[in-house]
Amino acid sequence: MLTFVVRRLLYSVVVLIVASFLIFAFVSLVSDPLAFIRMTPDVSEQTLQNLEDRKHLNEPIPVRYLYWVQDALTNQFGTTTVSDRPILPDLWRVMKNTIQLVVVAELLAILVAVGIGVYSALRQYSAFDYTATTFSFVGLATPVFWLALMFQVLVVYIYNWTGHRLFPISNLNDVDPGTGLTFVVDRAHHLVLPVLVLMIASIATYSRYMRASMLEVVNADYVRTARAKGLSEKQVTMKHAFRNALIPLVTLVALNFGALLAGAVVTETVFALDGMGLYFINALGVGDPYPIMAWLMITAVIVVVFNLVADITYGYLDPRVRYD
Amino acid sequence: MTEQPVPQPATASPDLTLTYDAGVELKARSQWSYARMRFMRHRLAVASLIALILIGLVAIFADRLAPHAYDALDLNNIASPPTLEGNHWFGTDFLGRDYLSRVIYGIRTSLYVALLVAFVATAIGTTVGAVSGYYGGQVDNLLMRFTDLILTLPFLAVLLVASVYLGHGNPTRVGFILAFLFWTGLARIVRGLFLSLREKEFVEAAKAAGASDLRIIIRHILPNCIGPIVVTMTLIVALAILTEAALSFLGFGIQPPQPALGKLIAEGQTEGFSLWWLVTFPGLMIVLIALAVNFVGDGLRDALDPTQRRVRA
Amino acid sequence: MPEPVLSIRDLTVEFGTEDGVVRAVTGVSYDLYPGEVLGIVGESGSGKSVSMLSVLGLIPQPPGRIVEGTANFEGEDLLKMPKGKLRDVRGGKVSMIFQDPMTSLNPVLTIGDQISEAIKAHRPGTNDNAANSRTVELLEMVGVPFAERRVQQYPHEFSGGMRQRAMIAMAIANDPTILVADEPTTALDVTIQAQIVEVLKAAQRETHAATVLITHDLGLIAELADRVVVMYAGRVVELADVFTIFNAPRHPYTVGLMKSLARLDADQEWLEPIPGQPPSLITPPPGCAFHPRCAQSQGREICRTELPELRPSSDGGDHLSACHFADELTVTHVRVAAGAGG
Repeated sequence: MLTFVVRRLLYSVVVLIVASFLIFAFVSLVSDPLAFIRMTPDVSEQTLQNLEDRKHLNEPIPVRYLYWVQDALTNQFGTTTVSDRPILPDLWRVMKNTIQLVVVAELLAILVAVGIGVYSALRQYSAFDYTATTFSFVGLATPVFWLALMFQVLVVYIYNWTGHRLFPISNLNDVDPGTGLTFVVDRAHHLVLPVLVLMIASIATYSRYMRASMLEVVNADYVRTARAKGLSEKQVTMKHAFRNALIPLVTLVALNFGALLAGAVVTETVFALDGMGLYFINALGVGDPYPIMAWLMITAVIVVVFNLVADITYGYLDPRVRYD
Repeated sequence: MTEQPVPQPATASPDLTLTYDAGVELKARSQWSYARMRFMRHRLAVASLIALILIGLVAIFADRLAPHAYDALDLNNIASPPTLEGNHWFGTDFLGRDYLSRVIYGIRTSLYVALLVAFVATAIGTTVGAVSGYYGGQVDNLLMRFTDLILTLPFLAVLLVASVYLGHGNPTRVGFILAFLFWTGLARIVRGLFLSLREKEFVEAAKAAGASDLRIIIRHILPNCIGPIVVTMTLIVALAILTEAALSFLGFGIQPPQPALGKLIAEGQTEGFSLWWLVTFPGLMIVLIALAVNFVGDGLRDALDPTQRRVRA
Repeated sequence: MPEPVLSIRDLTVEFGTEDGVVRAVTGVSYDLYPGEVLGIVGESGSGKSVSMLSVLGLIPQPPGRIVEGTANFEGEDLLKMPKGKLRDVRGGKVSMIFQDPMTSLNPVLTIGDQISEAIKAHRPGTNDNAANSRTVELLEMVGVPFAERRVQQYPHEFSGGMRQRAMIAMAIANDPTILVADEPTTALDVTIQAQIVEVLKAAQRETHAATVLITHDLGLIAELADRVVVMYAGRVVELADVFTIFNAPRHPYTVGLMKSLARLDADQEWLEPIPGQPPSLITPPPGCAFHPRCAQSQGREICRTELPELRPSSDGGDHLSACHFADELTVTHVRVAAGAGG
């Protein structure tokens, strides 16, 4: 098991290095960091020239890449072109917020989806099964941003009719959230709707997969053997069927990460949450490539870490892959 | 030993019926009619297909069917809620434009982009997959590393970066950018199919007859892949609709004056929530279209790929 | 004649499918005596597995349905037993070995875990150590080398033959009264098959269990079985001891089976298969299900209209045959030297 983990780790590092170069090359090739500044009136040639030198914009790409890596590792990913703000502290702040949102939503989604999937499989063609399947289908067809908006509309209308403010519909916290427990409660209150939105999209995907996986497993030969041994239904379902059915889900969760991130981006935009999504959208609006590259790099690291965790979990659950 | 009465097949009749005493009859049918029969068994899929055709027709004939031009202003009825009487079934927006018309044109743009994405992505994906799967070896390795790389990048991020710097606004451009990300899944599938099919005897036979590689790929192997390709294509259509809407909503997709469903929702959002219909209707249309496409895709998958061990969803 | 340990009478099982109702097993009756090996022979789809699976409650219902029948074991009807009690019987007094050991073993659990599980299910209160030592003992009994180390390995680390040995170990773990082997060698290489046959013989010797051997491999029957049930299209068509089945069969199907065997001791120019195809179980042929392929029938009308009963042939009460013209079959030139029969 240990060699397995170590090899995956080394592989991940290599992937990250390659990705970093690609990110840098791609963004640098298509962007002009000084575009925004060039459009500003009253900017002298000299200022532009200074900026170009400072950012080494006249060097070839591989050299600039090395400067960028140096900045990334030693200087907080450098600074934004326009306002000369160090990038990392901002990025770090928004990352923490996004992680809160995404981790909570994904964990809850997995729990609920597994429950729904397994129960649907065991009670195939029941009313529960049909309802769950319909819900999945609709959930998969619903754009995340629209769902977020609909929730907001709903809350506003309930407020208009009843004067009751169910959940806050924007921002991470109220203006004066207090400290300690009050802060946490306030934050939780604000995150209810965003988490719900992200959960629905994930549950729609995972529950269908879990159901299909469970159904396949339940008809497998080794389940028949387990029954033939005289084990109780509960043992057969949980120890034999369920554990095997869970395995493909791990791969699915890992593969779904891209969609999860996309969902987080739009959700943060709609709910005005100070997270990575909003940061990215704003950076794109300005067009400054440095925050964008830093963001992409951090995201790549998160993806790689996530995949690593998924690989290891998979190896833990399925002994067959441990020795490749 | 006496002669045993061996059951004889009926002399070759056009229907090719085989009978023996027990009376089992088989009519030979073409592959496509079997597929069609299986598809028809899925009522949801059939209903969805009909719905999609209707929506498609509305989109194509938007100019004639939309009650107003999408930018015509009705100053007497600014920001009025939807009503069944009168001529604003979906209400009007904050400038007095009829929303039903805007939504109809929005559907047209979104469908155009989705179909464009599907065709381009399928074309690229099939080509890459076919070459990769057929030739194998280094070519395969290279192409697959390349697709892997694209797959591991979070697609929305790449999309956004691409659209910021490569230009957006024009539906065709947006379509191409989306297609460049969506072809990878199809390439994987086609590659897998080609890898297994190229070992089959009919390929050997074709080679022995002197067929060129290109001919083998196109005339022999490719027709066997149509099932999974079509199914994946429908998935791409659904995904494209949702992604394009998200892009337009965020402001990086299609720009005005072209109405797109995502953009309509974004505009509606700016009005706060007093004009709820501005946000609701375009979204509902997206959901309905995506749902229908998914149902059709499901039905197609059962119809064209019955060997795939699937549980009826 | 000792009392049978299992008595199946008039068992009928059907399955609902998209294309119609499939009658997998119709009116099947046979007895199993203590300590013997009963072979059940037939083609795929003859119903040979279904009869035993339904007796053990391993047929999912729906889509399966036990229409009628009784299966008396130790004084009780297994088919009417409440689920909890049947579960106690399964794996304890009656255990089963399946065909494909790769898919029949759970890939994510160790072999030791799976065998211990069987032990603990029927002897609650067995602690882990005791179960483990018993497991190692069992693996050694079936000939798995380095059993102590192997116990902690996963099925994919075992070879095909060893997996089947492990399955056999699992089946005899609780000293069963009846052991059912469903195509135990079909998924294995020929050389491994021979080894597994030895393991089965040893298992039978150790446990003195009555064994039901379900297979389409006549060689296996010759080697292991004492008595043989021949099934076709869901019905029993012949029942006799193994020597009689091979040397003097009294059903055209059995005759056909024997004649289709490739012979080492004869100079054959052509193989003699049974002409035609097995019948549909949804719309079986009227009358005798075998008549479209039957050499003996010669088109006689009774074969097409009346279902032949399974009744004693002119040889005596132990040799049953379901053929209108069983007594016409005095085939003597089919002679196969049957093995010592376990």
